[in-house]
Amino acid sequence: MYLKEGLSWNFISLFYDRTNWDILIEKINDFETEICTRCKDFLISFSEEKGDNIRLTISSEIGDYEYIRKETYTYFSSFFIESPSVQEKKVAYGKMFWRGYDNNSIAFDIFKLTHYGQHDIDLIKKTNNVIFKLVHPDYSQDNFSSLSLYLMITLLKLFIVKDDRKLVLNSMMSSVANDFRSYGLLNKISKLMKEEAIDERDLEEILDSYLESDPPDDIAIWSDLVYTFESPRIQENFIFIIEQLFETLGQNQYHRALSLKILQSWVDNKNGLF
Amino acid sequence: MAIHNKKISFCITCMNRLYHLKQTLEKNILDNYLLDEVEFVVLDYNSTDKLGDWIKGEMTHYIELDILVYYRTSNPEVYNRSHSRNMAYRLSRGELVCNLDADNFLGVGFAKKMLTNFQRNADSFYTSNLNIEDVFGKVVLTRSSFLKVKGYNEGLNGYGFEDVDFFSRLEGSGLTHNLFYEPEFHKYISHSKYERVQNEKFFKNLEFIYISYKTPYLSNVIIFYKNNTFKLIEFIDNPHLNRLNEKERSFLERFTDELTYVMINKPLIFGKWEVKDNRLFVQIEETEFEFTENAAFIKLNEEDFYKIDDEDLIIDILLTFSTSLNILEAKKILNDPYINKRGFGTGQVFRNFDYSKMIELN
Repeated sequence: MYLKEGLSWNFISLFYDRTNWDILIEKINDFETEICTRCKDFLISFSEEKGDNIRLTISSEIGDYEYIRKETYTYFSSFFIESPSVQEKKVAYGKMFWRGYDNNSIAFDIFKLTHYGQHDIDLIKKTNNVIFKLVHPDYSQDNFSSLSLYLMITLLKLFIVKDDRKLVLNSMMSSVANDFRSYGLLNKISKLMKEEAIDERDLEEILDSYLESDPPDDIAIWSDLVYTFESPRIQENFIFIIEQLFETLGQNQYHRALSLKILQSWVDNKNGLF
Repeated sequence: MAIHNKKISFCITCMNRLYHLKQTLEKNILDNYLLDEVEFVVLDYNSTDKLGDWIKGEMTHYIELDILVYYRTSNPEVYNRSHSRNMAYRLSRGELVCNLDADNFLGVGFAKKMLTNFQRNADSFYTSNLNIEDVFGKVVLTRSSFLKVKGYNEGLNGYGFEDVDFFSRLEGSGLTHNLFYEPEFHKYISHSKYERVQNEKFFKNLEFIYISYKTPYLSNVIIFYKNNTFKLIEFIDNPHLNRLNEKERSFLERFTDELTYVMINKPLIFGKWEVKDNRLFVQIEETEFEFTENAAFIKLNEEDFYKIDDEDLIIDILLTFSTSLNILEAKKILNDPYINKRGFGTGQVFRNFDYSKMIELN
């Protein structure tokens, strides 16, 4: 049993093909409201690690730990039998070190959070609210990448003063690139950009459009986040929120570095105008 | 035997890394110019990229100033991290010694900072923040500490873990482990995985690799070597299975804990292979299997194996294998006073292009 802050924590991975995540999300929402009445915190995030999966982080009183584990397993096992998803992507045998978990299966305790303080959990929930409203109903990786870039530009524009923007991005990039697990990451990103024939001009136009567009229609969704930028630790909070954004959207080290690299080049090309 | 008349020696061992050294060596010298106190030792570990010619042509000035010393050994066929570093440390003249990879930048004032730190506390050693793989091996210690722990463990072949083993033994000998955190001291030239392993024995001997997927955290890999032998290895993804493991550990304990790494899960299986008339023959114990040469898929003992063509994945697997072997080896002898029983850093070298006088390191 995993204990933090006086609560027990269940980490549940629901392996279900990404093309059907909209259906699974509805089912998860039903589960949270109808079944999970003894849950304290209920956090949702996405992942592609060892197969497409949606992750649930559920905290509860210590005595409810086994109950929640059992209820989750029973509920989603039945759902996977009733409405199995079909794996769209072909498995790339010989191109990966490990195979993924079976599609339509459940695994426990193969991830965890990095922060458990009440302030951190609140911030994660609020960030996630913004993300979920913007992402639904398109759960494709393309949309997740676009959303990451859009939110980074919008938050940079709103909350980080012009002179500090480049600095903040550089700091995030060196943290991703210097991570011990990210060996050779930057070379791989350059290779990827060439292979995918990413057209820098097209990208620039897209990012310009993000910059010019107003914040999301429902401005209220930003209000939850704004208070974080009123504290003296604005840059740290910005970085925390962007990292949380990456976590929630299941962006691995390569996706993160790619988004940051694209943004860095774009800011450089602006010659101080952003 | 060298006279130890320098305060600090930066020891650089090179096998075909001239393109890195051209970018780093002079900058490192100029950024840490303390005449009579600092020396840079370049050990040319049988390079074939004309490293010596470049030093002779471009860096003679620094040799004349006695800031740079160039040594060459012509014996090694493949790069051996532990042995080459032991050689370079032994050849150096500093009271302090520092391993410096050819692709690392020292940073302005690193030498001065270390000299000051060691004046305050000589019973210590300094490493990077240990979060950046490319500068992981940068370590500063006293010559006497190096000799006391008998250098890097030459029983560890291949790639990975020799630094962790070395740091662990330094700590075990009673020294305080300090870290430097300045970003300026963590700069390096970014390069590909291929560049990193191309001179390693385990890479040079490789013919091809097949992989089979047992579970999301167990994979079987067969590495076929040029000498017609193979090894069948079962890997286990420990980091994945131990995400909730939160034992309180020091930096070094984290790096010596098997649960931190993908590891070999059970004893290796050895066998032989050959190609005859476009057919691949694989022999495990008494059973022989026959396949089409270069088949993308083979079936061995009811297991499906897929050929790996992706260079990055091949290198990942070879590095993982090498590191896990080194971890197992190092754990057997961690803090063992009897490492390097036959000596360390031994061999023949020539100093500053004087090929008439061979220096024997016994």
